[in-house]
Amino acid sequence: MTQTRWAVRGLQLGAAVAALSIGAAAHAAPDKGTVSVLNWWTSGSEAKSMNVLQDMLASDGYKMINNAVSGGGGSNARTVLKSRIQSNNIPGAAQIKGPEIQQWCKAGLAMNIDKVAADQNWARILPGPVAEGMQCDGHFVAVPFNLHRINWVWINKSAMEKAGAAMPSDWNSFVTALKKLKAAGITPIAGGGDTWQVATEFDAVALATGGADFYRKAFVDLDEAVLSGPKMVKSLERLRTLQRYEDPNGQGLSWNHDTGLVVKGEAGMQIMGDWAKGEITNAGATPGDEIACMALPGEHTGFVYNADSFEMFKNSNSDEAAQYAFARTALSPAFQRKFNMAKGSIPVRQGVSLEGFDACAQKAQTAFEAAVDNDALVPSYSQDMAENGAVKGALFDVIAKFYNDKDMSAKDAAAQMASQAQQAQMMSQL
Amino acid sequence: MADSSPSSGAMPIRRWLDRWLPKLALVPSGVALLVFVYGFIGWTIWLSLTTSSLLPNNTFAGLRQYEVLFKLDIWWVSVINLAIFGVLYVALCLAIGLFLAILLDQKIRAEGWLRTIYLYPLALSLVVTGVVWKWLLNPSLGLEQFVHALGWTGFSFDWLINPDMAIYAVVIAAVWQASGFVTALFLAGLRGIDSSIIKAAQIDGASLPRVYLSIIIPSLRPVFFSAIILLVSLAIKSFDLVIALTGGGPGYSTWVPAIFMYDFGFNRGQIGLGAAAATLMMAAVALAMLPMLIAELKGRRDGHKN
Repeated sequence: MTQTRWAVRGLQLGAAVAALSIGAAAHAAPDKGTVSVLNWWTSGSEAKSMNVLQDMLASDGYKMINNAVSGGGGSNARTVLKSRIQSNNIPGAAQIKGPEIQQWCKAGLAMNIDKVAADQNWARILPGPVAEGMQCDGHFVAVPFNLHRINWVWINKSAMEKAGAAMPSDWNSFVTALKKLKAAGITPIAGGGDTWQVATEFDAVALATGGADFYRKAFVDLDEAVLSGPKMVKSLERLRTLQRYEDPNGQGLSWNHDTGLVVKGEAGMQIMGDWAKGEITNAGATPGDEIACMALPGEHTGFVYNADSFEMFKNSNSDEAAQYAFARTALSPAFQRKFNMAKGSIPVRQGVSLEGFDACAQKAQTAFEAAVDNDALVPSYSQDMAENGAVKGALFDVIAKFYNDKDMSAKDAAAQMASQAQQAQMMSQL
Repeated sequence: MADSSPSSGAMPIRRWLDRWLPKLALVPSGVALLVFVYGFIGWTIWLSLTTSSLLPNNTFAGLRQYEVLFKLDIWWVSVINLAIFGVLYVALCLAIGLFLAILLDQKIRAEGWLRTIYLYPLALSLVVTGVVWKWLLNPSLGLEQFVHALGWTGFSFDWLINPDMAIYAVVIAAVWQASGFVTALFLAGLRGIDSSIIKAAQIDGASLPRVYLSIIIPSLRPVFFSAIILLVSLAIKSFDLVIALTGGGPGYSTWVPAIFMYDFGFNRGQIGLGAAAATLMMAAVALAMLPMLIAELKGRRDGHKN
């Protein structure tokens, strides 16, 4: 028994040493409090942005311990969060987004940060739906960092010229362009098979085909009639069209590899969120210039958003003052500009100058404001913004099955989507 | 089990230590095993009977999770994949392993070298194996492209991207990795056979195939046994190779129960369902291990009699 206890002690000690050594990288400053921040931003620009936040907090006298957990698109960080909660070593803030914010809040773990929200007037500086997502029982519990737009198409202009294709303006001209690209021996759409990528494409297709109302009823409300209805069938049929123009050998290749194919001109287009800009820039091209950006055309326009956010926890290992400071600094105009310029997103805080942002970010901001006015702002189901993991998984399963089984009809797929999403919803609310 | 010897009065502490020290030394690891293996097995089984979703909880839900599990298409795809994979993997590894071992046993030159070469894939981690085969089997990068470049453009080998065939691509990579190891097992078995029996059979006029079929292979029974036990448990646990080779795709066509368990438990916030899958996997492993345990116990009892 003592052996076990010592083993546990040892593990705790090891964790503490690791945490300290990470923390030691931060500046030594007047100590007003510490906040530990669990996140999965370990890649170059994202990690750098967290360091910027760390420095900004340090100059205010707060110490931020950056607990970055790599891998699994955040699933490893979530596992760490669960085990830390189980062992009562709760981080002050953790990267959590979408409906999961409510799940943690309902578990009674979220900290009320209304004080900061009132100081900074979040009700005014945050877009309505985003602000709503950060609240639980009428109180703010999480702070958003950014706004990504999902429903983008990235188009290599010179590949289009080579194929003699015109820039598309609606669905039919889009398909015509794909045909011409194929005839010219260029892979029309980079992608093909990776379920997450297919689901991301479907985000764009569903909004363009069915519009914002349809999108919300289907993916946010899980309305059975809408999920299995004609607009969903039509959206799935369009996904089938996309599949025919994707490289079947692209199975298992990652999205950034596919972005590279577009930049090199081996593929004509990619349907992907605006984080693709980082890859485009890395490959030496300019988003908005050689690589055009436009919303996936269809009958409807709008803005499918993904907002990264951090939820605050009470009874955590951090000081409340530092937790408040973390939320406040994250939404400061200076950090919003620096962070979003590096990440490819646009500031979630409204009224921040976009000077120095690239052309596609400017376009995204315009589209965002239009979407807010037209009530066409929808949370991305593929990026965990609309549903919890169980329901999202169920939707992904059906889409993956449909995409890979060429004999499956869009109607069957829509019906399965409705029943499986319902079942997953029921299971996660037992 | 323990044979008690009567203690005489001389140096009682020494005697006591002699008797109890080995047991005391084993206590910590015994306790650790009890908690970290059997304790967690028990916890997992319990979780599979609760409503646990994002976090574990203790609300009893009966067999609810199992009912849902059995209704999920993706679970049955995983189970069928495991059946296909398990049967082919074990059968092919045994066949190739035995064949290579028999060839190596013909007192050939450079046997040591060949043995090392065959055994070498086992030194690679399954992730490396998966990535290498992913490239080899990718139609536009690997084998198909190579044959096309040689001039045979009609050649098609697209198992990796074909949802109906992808699980067989996993079998290829897994067999490549493990058959050398099985070869080594069989070779050791072959070396252990008393050569005088073979000579006797040859004197009696048995042909070489006859000698192998009737004498050598039957006497390799224990090797078959341990190889099968090892391979079956490896097959049921298979996870990393599939993740590295296909990522479970296309779609979820190469999912196996281990991937199901991980994804539902950790990614989708359905810990109860994940625990139910884990419990069923453990039951499968237990079933595969049962014959070995019985044989082992029986062997020990026989040993006591002698």
